[in-house]
Amino acid sequence: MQEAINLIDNREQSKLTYEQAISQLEKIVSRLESGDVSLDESVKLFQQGTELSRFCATQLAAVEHQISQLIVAPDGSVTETPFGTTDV
Amino acid sequence: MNAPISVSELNRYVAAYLEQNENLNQVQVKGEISGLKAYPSGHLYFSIKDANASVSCVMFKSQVMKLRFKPVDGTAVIVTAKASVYDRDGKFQLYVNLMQADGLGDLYLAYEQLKSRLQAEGLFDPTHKLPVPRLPKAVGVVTSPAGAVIRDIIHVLSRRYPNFKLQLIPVQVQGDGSAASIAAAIDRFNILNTVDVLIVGRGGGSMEDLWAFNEEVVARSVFRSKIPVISAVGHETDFTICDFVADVRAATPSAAAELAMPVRAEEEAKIINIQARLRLALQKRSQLETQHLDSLINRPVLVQPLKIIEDKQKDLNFLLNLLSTAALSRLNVADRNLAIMAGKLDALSPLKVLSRGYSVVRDQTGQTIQSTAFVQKDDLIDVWLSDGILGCTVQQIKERKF
Repeated sequence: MQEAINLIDNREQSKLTYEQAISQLEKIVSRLESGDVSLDESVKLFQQGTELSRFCATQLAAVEHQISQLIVAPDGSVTETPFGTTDV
Repeated sequence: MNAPISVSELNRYVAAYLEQNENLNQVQVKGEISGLKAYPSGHLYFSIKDANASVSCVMFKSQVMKLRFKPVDGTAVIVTAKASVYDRDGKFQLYVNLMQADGLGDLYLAYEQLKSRLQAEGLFDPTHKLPVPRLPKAVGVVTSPAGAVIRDIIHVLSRRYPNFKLQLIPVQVQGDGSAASIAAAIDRFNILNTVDVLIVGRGGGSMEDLWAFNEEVVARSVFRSKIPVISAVGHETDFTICDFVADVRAATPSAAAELAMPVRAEEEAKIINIQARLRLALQKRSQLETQHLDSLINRPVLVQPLKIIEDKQKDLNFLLNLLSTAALSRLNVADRNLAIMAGKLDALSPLKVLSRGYSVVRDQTGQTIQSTAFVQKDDLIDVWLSDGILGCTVQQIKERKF
């Protein structure tokens, strides 16, 4: 939990993976639901949770749709071309 | 009887005699390998034996290189060979062209051999398995561009995660050079580092068809890969070496695609649910706090803050009353006692005695004279009466007992 808070405090979200964010989010929610945190901390946890959930939602949308094939030439150079799904 | 011939001539003659026999030219012999020696030249020397007999064999490097499995002592084999005599020492031996594993076959033997070797080396250890990321930014695929595999993967990914990103390195999945091309593609993905997870696979087929995925070069590249590898080779019942080394084994290419990407709608629903739980939990927390605050506000001390002072004031007044009552009665007693004492004192006062007609006689030093013994004639003495002092001179001393 402490670790989760630190990660957010340090604004290291760019390094955060989706599953790390989700697992922190789940910890924050169950902590908040347990009710044994002060009101101040509850508000803090809520803010962190909201930030993390926005981060997760952004990550879901951030994947860019693309299907390509990489052709490796004998000299090792790689050419990326769209891979048609209609002909397969 | 002919003329004697040389040993060399004899050996050459026997060799030539044997070699013209078609049955011995291309003979298949089955037995167990024993006494195997591999020479630095690459040639193999060994015997094949059954329960009662054995025959020497030689297999030259060019043939040895075609072996898929590694022959060892005890391996049951079928060799295809030419029987002849080595003319240097007249030794009868088989020149082996082809060696196949007897029983389950070459491929199976090679598979078992590689599997136990790599297992012993730790390539299958769970400790080396990398976790597959829950949300890869891109999925890499190593398979044939034309097979059902890539089609199935794209189909499943489209259903689960409409905006998925996929990169394919097309490879040959069977035949000569296929293992090398698969291994190279895995290595290439690791160099490019553009994907977060790899699917390596092909559709079902015979053991021969799937063979590339049982080759060491593929196993090594999968093991080397820093990108987690999902192996999806053949059908659910086919287990290849690649499956064992991979971080995850999928039963089918579709299953591999399911392991690679989450269902976007499910993930979104999960996040919405978590956000709702966050709100609800905070709401509950603040409600609890409000209730607590309300109960505090309704405490008498906050509702009638002066009451406590009023109560104390009452107590104080009561005590003050008690105190003054007690003090007064104590004073009265003291007063009465004082009057009695004063009466007693008055009765005992020497002045009172003097007023009754007595007097006190003192010498010049102020000493009360209680006996005639303390005065002489002509002494000056003071006689104290109730209203004054008489200065007198002693004229005469008369002793008298009263």
